Amino acid sequence: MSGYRLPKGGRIDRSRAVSFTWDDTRYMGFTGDTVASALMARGERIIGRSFKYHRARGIMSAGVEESGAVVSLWSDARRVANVKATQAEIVPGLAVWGQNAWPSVRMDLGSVNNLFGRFFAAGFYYKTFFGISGRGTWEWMQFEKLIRQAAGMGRASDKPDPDHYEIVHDHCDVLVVGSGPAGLSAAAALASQGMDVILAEQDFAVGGSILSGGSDDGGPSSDAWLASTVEGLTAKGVRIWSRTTAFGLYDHGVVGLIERVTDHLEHPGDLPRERCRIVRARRIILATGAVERPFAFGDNDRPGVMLASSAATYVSRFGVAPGKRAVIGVNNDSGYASAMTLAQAGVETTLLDARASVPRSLASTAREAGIDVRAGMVPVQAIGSRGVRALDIGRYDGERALAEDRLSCDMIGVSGGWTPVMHLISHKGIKPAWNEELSAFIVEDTGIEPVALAGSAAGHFTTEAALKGGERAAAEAIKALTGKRRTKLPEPETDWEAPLQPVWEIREPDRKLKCFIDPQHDVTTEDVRLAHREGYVSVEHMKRYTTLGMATDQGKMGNVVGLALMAEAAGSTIPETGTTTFRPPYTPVSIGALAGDERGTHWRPTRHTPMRLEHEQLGCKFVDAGFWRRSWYYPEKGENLARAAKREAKAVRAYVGMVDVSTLGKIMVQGPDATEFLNRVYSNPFAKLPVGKARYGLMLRDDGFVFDDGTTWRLTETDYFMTTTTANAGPVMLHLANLLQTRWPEMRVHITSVSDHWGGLAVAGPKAREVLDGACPDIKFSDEAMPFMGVRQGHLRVESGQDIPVMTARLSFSGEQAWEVMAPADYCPAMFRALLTRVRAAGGVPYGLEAMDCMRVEKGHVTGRELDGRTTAADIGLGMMASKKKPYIGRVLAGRPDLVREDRPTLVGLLPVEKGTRFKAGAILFPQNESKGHGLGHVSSIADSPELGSWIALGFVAGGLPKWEGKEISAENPIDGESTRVRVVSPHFFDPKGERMHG
Amino acid sequence: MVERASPFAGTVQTGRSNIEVSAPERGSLWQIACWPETFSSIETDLAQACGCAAPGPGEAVKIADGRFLIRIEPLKWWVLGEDGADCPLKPEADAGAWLDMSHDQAAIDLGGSHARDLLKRMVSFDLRDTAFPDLRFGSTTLHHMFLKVLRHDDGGAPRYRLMVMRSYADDLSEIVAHHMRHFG
Repeated sequence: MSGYRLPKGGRIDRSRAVSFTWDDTRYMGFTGDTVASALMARGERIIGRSFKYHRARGIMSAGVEESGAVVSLWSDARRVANVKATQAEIVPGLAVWGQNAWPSVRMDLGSVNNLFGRFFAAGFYYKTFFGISGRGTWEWMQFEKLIRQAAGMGRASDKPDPDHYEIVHDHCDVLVVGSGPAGLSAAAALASQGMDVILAEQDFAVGGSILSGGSDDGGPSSDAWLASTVEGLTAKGVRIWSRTTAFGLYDHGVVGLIERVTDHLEHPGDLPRERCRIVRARRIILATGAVERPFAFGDNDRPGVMLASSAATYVSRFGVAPGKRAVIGVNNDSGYASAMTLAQAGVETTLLDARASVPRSLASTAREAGIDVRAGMVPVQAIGSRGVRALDIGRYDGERALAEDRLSCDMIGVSGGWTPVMHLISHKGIKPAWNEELSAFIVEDTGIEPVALAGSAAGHFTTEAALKGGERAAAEAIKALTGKRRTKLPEPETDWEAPLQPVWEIREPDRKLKCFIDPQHDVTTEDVRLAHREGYVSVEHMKRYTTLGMATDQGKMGNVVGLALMAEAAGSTIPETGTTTFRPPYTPVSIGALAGDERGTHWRPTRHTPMRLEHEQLGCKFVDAGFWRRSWYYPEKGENLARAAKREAKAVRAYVGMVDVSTLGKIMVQGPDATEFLNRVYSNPFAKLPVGKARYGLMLRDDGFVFDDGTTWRLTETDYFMTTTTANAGPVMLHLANLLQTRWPEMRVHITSVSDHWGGLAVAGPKAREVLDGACPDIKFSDEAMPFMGVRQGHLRVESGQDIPVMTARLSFSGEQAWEVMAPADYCPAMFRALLTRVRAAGGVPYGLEAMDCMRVEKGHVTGRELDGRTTAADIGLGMMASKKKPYIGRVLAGRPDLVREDRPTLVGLLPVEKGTRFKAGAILFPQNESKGHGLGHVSSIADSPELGSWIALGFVAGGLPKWEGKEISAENPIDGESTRVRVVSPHFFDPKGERMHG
Repeated sequence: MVERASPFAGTVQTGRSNIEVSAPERGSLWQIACWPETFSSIETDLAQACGCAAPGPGEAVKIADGRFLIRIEPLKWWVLGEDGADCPLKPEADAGAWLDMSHDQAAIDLGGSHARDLLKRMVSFDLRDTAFPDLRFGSTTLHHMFLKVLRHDDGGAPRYRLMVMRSYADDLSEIVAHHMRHFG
């Protein structure tokens, strides 16, 4: 038993009791309590266990810098690990769990590690890489399991997160981060000038340091002042966001914030658990305060050792005394106020001031309050493994102290000075400078960033200085935003009675003490020296080797002390040693909040063709193709994919079929220079394409490899309708826009994506003409009226007897006589129904992607599987298409020696030697009995061909047909251990002369 | 005229007291483009043809109820009109280009007292009155989709038209419905 609830005081609502559990035991607190304050009020001392040594840890602070009381909240799928008990509000039903311990933090068998502490010094797990005996990897493998099991402290749930999150974008003139005196005064000054202000506060209550102290005189820092200021801000439209932590500062005034929306609500309803707010602010004022830092002394991690100001916070804000007998060790004036607060709450208090000369008036006031003030004295070693029982103290000579007295106590408060919270500006790469007077890193110049620091974040530690600092930062922001010159306010000064005396570590002569500087990661002062001895002379290396200030701590607790010790070890100064870089997030952020709503079905968008409902009515099965849901096959009577696709392909070859080709990319290319533009973009000529004709085009990348293919229809002298592959619709559009904007801005060409304006059906098969003849009253489909690659615009008559506008071109991907018919998307359902009736009347069927793929493999037509970014036009058998006369994108680099060498893998057809044998796409091709190395090439596409009655494939073989045609090679699938003998043949398996297509 | 099929598979959620959602009638959308040297003449001719003032960059002008002239790019305008309306200006190729895109986009109108708050969950640009007033137009992305936003107030209350490529219609509808649940 140490802490206890005071009979009065604090900013808790004593009329509203809150029940929660701590390791399954029911506890009561009050609204306004944190988990830490509620547990402290019940006398709980051991709240956590340390990372490596499993030493007992208690509450060390009252804020985000907490390094001891790290717990898990809630249960099962909602379990959240590594939460600072000092930040978590208690709500009815909250379940709090100790972590990194078994069976509990109070009795942890893992604490045996502490006995072997000398083996767990800095970098111990790196050393296991090498091993004791030099057997390196083998030994590491033995250690790995244990180390991995021990890592991470708390355990996250492995169940899906049942909560939901959202991302919200906000804008403002000025974002003020932090609602302490500086933040409030800045916001008030800005609002008075009509600025649009957001005030963000990570705590659940607004007020910052005012909540931990404050006066009752009605002046600045009093409760009354706080209330009236907040009321004034609200009236002026300032958006005040509590429970909102600014976790990262990014370019152009973008700040990431996390708002805890429902964690404190008993009935959250449909609200998201957390809200990630992305704020774009024209100016930012960081009034983020400062973190009190400890100094190191023996066993300074024992439960009951805490920051002095935090001890006072528990009294002032939560009405909880952290102990009955306190010893406060300080090296600066601020610790006196903390000691006074404790004394006024009835705690028997001794104050040790490391300074030989104590501030006279402060000391006098303290003594009047009954505090035993001892000048020049420091704590040397805490006594009590499960909680502080006493403290050995000694006289400080500026480096060492010999224990000369033992004070009985149940809590120890430490104040080693203050470290401004400048993590956010550090995210922007701004380096702070060392301030000798404050013994702290201070950001003096934020450079070009639209950011200012105010209050204790800027090194102004008194309330009065913070208030002035806030007003000054506001005035600068107003000037920057409005151009109005205002009287420049002077730089505020911290008015401490006596200067701070830097103290980093208390050492005792002839005795090694275990002194912690980062309790969360069990980093000791000796670890820092060890790192230096082992060659880690850069602070960044030291940080990684020791883990000082990493993970959730981000240097809040022990960073400066560690740097000071590193500087001492290196024989340099702190400024010479420098500081590490803080990285986002400032405090942990739920991954779910960063994902926001983009999860589940919203993981990615889904695109539907305009004929989706018609497909569904036919029982179509769909397949994902990029974002698209494409019609895959139309099963009949329990057919599976293979049987349905085979039936569909057979029907197309025998009669007719129709397939939805709406997913093709479609781009209108318009303007007087459109022809020249296309001629430069495609590798084959387009200059002489007549109106009313289409042409297959092959587009290369700058590096000479094939980019995309498709047909382009000339509609008028200056209007072209370009189609692209489904996969490359977006990339081709970007490519063309890039060319027009950067390389050929003089060209009078407009490109517009019309992929969604037009939907399309391909009607293919020997009876395709029969289907279309008569369907379009003003288009004739005879060879004479519409030869191969002909384009016509007209109308299609739908079931209602009305006509819809269509464009059609005689093209074929299946190898059959075929037409693509395009209609405005809203009319596509009507087109589908009209053509389906005619297709069925001709004995045909609708067919899907699977059958289409089978037929194109039979024809040796390439798709994305062949155009995989590594193939040239010659590789896919289209080298003759590439013009030798005109310049075009990719021509020069397509002539590189490696792209024209004769042994490049080129497109071939593959047939299994044993008919009916199935092999797989992706298989590696080798010469017979030479299955080693990288092989000759690979299988790119495969199909079960109804026409050939066999599995067939397309693939790439070094040397291609000239070298391998008719020869047997081996298709090896090393994953499944399969080997298939295949014969190299022409890729044109079916109708190689194209008689059906042209017939 | 053949009845146009809705791009939405189902009914677009109609909203609650503080968020009103509706799918506007399918209409016409004509794109008119010009060349840098023909900008002035096309701008003048187009405004005249539409019977309204010419909108500035990123702005729209209301021609009549539900009809807008929008400057979508430096050299391009969109004319939103009723179904079947002809293109108001068909420049010769030397002067510009025109294009029917009437079936290209799916639209949702978003109104009500919390419309802006809901939209803040979908787009990143500044929706404050000072930055995005009535008849302001913006292009952005929403979850990998190109999204165009036109503010067209209804009796002084902010009202936004959200436009995406037609194939994304159901996704847009679902996203709006998804966010609506946070608004009571």
